Amino acid sequence: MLTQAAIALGNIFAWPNFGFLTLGTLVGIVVGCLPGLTATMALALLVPFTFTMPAMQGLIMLGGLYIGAMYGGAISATLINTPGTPSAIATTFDGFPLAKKGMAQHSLVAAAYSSMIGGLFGTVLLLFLSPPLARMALQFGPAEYFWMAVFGLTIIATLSTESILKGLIGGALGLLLSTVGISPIAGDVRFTFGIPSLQGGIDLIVALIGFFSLPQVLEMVEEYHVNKHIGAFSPKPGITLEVVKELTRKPGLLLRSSLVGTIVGIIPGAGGNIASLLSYNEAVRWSSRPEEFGQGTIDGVAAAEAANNAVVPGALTPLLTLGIPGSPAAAVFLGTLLLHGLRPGPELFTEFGEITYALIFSLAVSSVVMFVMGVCGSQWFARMINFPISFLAPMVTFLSVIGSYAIRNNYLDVVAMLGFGFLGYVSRKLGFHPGPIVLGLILGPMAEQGLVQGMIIGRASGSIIQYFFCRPLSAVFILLSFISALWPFLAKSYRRQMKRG
Amino acid sequence: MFNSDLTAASLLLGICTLTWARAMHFSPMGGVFVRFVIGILALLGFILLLKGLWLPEMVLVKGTGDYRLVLLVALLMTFYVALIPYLGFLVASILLFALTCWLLDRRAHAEKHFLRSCSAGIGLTLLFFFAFKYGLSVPLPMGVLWG
Repeated sequence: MLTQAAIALGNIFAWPNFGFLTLGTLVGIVVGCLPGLTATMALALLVPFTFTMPAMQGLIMLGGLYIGAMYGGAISATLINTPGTPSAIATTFDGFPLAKKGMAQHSLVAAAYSSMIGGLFGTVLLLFLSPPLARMALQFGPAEYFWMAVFGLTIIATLSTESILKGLIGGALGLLLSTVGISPIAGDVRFTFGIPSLQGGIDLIVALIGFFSLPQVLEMVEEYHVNKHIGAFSPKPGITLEVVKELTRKPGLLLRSSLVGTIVGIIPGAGGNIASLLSYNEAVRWSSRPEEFGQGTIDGVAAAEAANNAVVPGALTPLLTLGIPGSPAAAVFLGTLLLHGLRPGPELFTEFGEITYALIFSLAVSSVVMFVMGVCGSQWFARMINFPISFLAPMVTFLSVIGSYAIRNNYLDVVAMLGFGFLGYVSRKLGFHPGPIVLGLILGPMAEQGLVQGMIIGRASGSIIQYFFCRPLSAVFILLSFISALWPFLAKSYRRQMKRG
Repeated sequence: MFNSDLTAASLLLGICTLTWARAMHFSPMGGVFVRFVIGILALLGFILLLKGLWLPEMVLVKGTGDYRLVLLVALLMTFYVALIPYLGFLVASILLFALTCWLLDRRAHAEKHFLRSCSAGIGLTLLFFFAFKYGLSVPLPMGVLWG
């Protein structure tokens, strides 16, 4: 194993492999920062280019692209409050407030650094712990998925800074929106109003672009007579060192976020969006200054970005060890492996060890390359907030149309995006943050499928209650959900007692 | 000033009534989650209604924001999306850039920005159009007049 790993590492730095890795990372960053163009789409677009390449080169380039795209999402999340990929939802919570304070470069460097740590951490776990972790992920049944979704929904308590009641309503609205389309088990056609395109449900990316980018455009326009720009950025020397030093002093934050990202990545069906939200929630809970989150703190950006990049090696774990693609992006990797005659399973680590280890190491090396590119580009990206709003407003609208159309090549998605945009603007005015709505939309399908499948299995095995409440992993998630839901109240009373005492 | 809690609660309870009426016709397994969510939403809407009556949250409609301009830009966005199937993505986007820049800069007495923003926007539209359509082979919405 060691010999193969050493040869693989050497191969990555050999020409032209390193060139392809760098190119893949760069393309990933560019695609990731464009709202609506996801990592999966970029991977799928690049696969045909790898047909004629040797397997190692193709996989190295795809690995770089996946890592780059995950980071790229943070660029638009910071600069225009629009997550470039769904995984960057949580990055908007603190990235954009930082940009408005003129600290866009701080946010971008924090995103690049924490993404690198997340990628490296996940790769180390993939190298040494992949078989037992993948087996653990297979213990997840419908009940565990249902409780995991419930646990995810408890994040609403953290996301709702103004009113928990409105946060809960937003979450429930998101869950209701997620039921549009054909039901997963019974096949009922729900809330489609006779429109065939709605049978596939509401696309998450369309909703994401609508809820985050168009309301931002309208808010920029609302204040245009006062502010002609989003913020004012002037490059200062030493920002990179300052941010890296500050984050290095918080190893707990980075390691915890990376661990959350890797574990969520391994679980089939749970992706970077869930990982970054869970990690953000944990960062708020463990912070000594939770009130700073949402106002523009690099800790919030670091928590989200470390987690979503750690998802990349995590998502490849069940694929490489068991042949189970746990995410759409991993499915593209599976297709590429099969195209090159490589069958996932134990042989990947023995017979084709050099290629497999090259793919694994490419994730680590491209994380470093991505960090260098991110840091070098940060002061140029950050200048975007100096552009006049009269230019940015139509540009964001135009990118939103491209992004929402490119998902399914469906004009109705553009109309839906526009509708969500206006709804998002009005709901913000009524005090509803888009975060909980989108969270409900993400977790809804997982919760519904888990609930319905669990009810069927429970009924067949004698007791639905026993099936949902008496499994060890379910019990862990129920306990975590209780702790997470009660945490804001417990923390508040603890702080009050500390002040008194 | 208006009571945002009462407005939101009325809207929510209206949504719950409409969706419940449709959810009555779903099969037991296809409707179990929907009915559960509507139940929760109705309960939360009712709590919000009570809060609106006892501890209302008042929202100032006319604050510092220029809501007339927001309405105009929102209309412009709607026209943009409505025009895409007729004019095609390229022409409609060029129109969007030109009209939005003109509207914003004229209203803010920043006419000097207009030419710069507008020409940069049109350049960007062309760049993205050709990069997506011919570089990445990502299809963009086509129109009757211009594909």
